[in-house]
Amino acid sequence: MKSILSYTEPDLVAALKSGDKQAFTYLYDNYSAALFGVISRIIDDEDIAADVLQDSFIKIWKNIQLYDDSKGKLFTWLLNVCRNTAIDHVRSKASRMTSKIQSDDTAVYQIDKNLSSSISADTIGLKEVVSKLKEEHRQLISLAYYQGYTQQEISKELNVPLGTVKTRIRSALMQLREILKVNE
Amino acid sequence: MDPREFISSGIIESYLLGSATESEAREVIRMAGLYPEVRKEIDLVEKTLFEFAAKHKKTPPADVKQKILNVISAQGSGNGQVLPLYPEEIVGSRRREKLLSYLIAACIVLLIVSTFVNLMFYSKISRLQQQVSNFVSEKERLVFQVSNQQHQLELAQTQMNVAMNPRFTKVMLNGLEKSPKSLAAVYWNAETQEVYMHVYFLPNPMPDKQYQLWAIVDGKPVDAGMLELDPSSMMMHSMKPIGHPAAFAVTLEKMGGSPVPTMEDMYMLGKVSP
Repeated sequence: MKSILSYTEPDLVAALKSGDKQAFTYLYDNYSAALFGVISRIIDDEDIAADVLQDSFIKIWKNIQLYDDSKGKLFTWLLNVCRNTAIDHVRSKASRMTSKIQSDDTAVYQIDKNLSSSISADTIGLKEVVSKLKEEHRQLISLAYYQGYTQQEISKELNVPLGTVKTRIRSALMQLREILKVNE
Repeated sequence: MDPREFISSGIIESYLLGSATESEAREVIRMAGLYPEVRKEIDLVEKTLFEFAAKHKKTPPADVKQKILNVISAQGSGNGQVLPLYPEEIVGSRRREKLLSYLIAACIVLLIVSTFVNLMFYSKISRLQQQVSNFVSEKERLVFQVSNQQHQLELAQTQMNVAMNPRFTKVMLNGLEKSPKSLAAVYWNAETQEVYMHVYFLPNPMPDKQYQLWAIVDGKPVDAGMLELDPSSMMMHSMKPIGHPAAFAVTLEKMGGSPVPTMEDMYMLGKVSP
């Protein structure tokens, strides 16, 4: 997490937990773009995505005490708060628009469409990254990462055994790791 | 479980993407504590997720930041001040709520118990009150009975004393024409001049009339008192003291008596034997 670090991660967490607004501003300045990127891949509409980002940050502020650093890094927690808020939003909207509810097949199709639209969108880096992924991995990343599908749901969705889903997600992330040159 | 097998199962990715079950999550934390390679793998996956997101970066609309800060300030206590330790407040108030709900539960239990005990005591008390009032009325009845018996005993003793006392002279009064069945005895004590009369039979008088006892002293009738009691009561009547009577007579007079006897209404007469 190479940011303009004026805080170490434990210091930042401690400051946030003590209700320090400066630390919160710092958090927003350093993480909002990455998180907004994630939310924007789940929700097309920029205004709605911005609302979701706002809700997410308010949740983060309110629930920072729930963050436990023994369970994972701060960013992983932030990512999951944003993903869950976005996915909840999409699902509650989908359940409200019952007439427009698609079969599972078209839902998968839409996910792919989301992904391809995000590829064509802007980031060259992302385009490169994703285009380097194998098709089957791309789909899995999309389902698990953007749509919040559990591995059981993906297994059912793609008609692939659960064990296979797990190992494929793993190898997809391994591939990403290689592409992104993540080192220890 | 073998750490390499654990890593390759994909459970770590599932855990970090938030789709692991509770027990899977506990297992990941446990394995991370046991094996450094699991810990390292978690770090790598987290870094990957971060780097992947970093590649997706998209700057949010400029107004979002201020909106968020406004919401947070509105929820805080002061303006621009460091927020009070929000979660502590929550924890504190939760603790208070918990304590309050325990207290409420305890109060309800106490209320139920005390209502039950009260009902028990109430029924016991009303039973006791009933018993006490029974005892009181029983006691009153007994007191009345005792005093009544005492009175009767005194009367009986007086009667016996009079009848058995040799100093009393007994004079039998027999019924005259007016009422031949009438019969009474007069006891006269020459020493003390006491006079008692015991009626055996006399007809009940009219409500406005009363029997009067006369003593004939030196040939003249002297008032010896009114018969206050019901003549049929068989009681010894205490009369006025008389000295040296020659005879006793009973006439029927108006209520309260008469200074002179009404001779035609004389019922009984008896001479004192010399």
